[in-house]
Amino acid sequence: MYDGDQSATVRRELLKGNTPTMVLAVLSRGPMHGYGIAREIERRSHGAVVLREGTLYPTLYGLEQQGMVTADWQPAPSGPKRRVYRITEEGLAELDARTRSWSVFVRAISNVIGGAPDVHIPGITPAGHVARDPGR
Amino acid sequence: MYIYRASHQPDMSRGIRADDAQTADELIEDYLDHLMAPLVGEMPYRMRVAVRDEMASHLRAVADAYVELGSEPDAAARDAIGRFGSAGLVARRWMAELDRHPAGGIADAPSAVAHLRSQRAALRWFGAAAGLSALTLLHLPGHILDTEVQIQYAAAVCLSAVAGMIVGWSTRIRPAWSVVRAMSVLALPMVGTYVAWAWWRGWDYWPFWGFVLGALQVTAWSWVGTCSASAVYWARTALTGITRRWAPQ
Repeated sequence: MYDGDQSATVRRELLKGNTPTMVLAVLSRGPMHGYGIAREIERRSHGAVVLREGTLYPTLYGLEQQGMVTADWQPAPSGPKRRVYRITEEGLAELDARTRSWSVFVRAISNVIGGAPDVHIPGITPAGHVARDPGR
Repeated sequence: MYIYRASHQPDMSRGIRADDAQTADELIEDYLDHLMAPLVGEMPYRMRVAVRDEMASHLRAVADAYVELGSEPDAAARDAIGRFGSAGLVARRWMAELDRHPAGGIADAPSAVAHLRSQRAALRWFGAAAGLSALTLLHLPGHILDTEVQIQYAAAVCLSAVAGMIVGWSTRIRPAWSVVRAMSVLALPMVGTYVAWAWWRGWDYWPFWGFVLGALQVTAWSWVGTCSASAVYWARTALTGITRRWAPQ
């Protein structure tokens, strides 16, 4: 049984590698600054996704270097200027690819966990045994 | 909304003292100092300033939200920092990203910090290898002319290759030079260890041959260490596409 800390750790493990996807997904709805991205991820996940918010910035830097997002400083209604990020065409294409890949992954894992495979893999029976060749 | 900037007037109507603001601000600034320190030499100065400003703005916004919910300013700043992640973790993420996409920190502005970091890494790893070698030496089962002992002596050379490879992988500037500097610092203790060892074992070649063996090891380590460090450094730059960084003297 997991206690609170363990489930948080599991959550972080699951998050690894998926932060850029979430960032791109949030930015696909419109330009946003770092704080806004963190809040939007939290809001959309109903608080289930717990990000280390500081790690957003290296992620954004990486995406910017890959040409998936652009950023510029914009004046805020109150307070200092903010760096606003927006997704590029390359970013949208990458998000599309990542979304499809994620869907396949989720379906596969759900099948494994749920035990109800909806995909037949030739040579493998539903129970996971290698099918015997009747000719032999 | 409570503003943390010292230049702004705190909202005294909520009963918050002026020194609270400074405490919260100091907590955030101290945290950012720790976070940004490892990035010196990795990230150009102007970029560091911009990144720091951006993260400070984020932290203050989170802290503001906590204050809105009724937290004291310093507790709010601590909670905001907690959400942000440990300074070491965030700095490591930055280093990983900068490894993949260099920002030209060192290439643009070769600094004493980069050299120092490289030399420190060389000294650390070669120091550890020298310590391990000395321990091996102390536990040699027989005379230096025994085959088994000679194998162990030869194995000590491998330590320098491993240390060199780690230095080549982990440093970003002039790894071979860093190895040479590290070996020049370690030469005396290494030779001294051999002389002391020969004296302790009471063998006939003391002290001259102990000195010769030590000097041989230092020479071998210098060559093997610089070669392996350079090879791994060049391989790494070729594999990762990171621009080689040479500091003008």
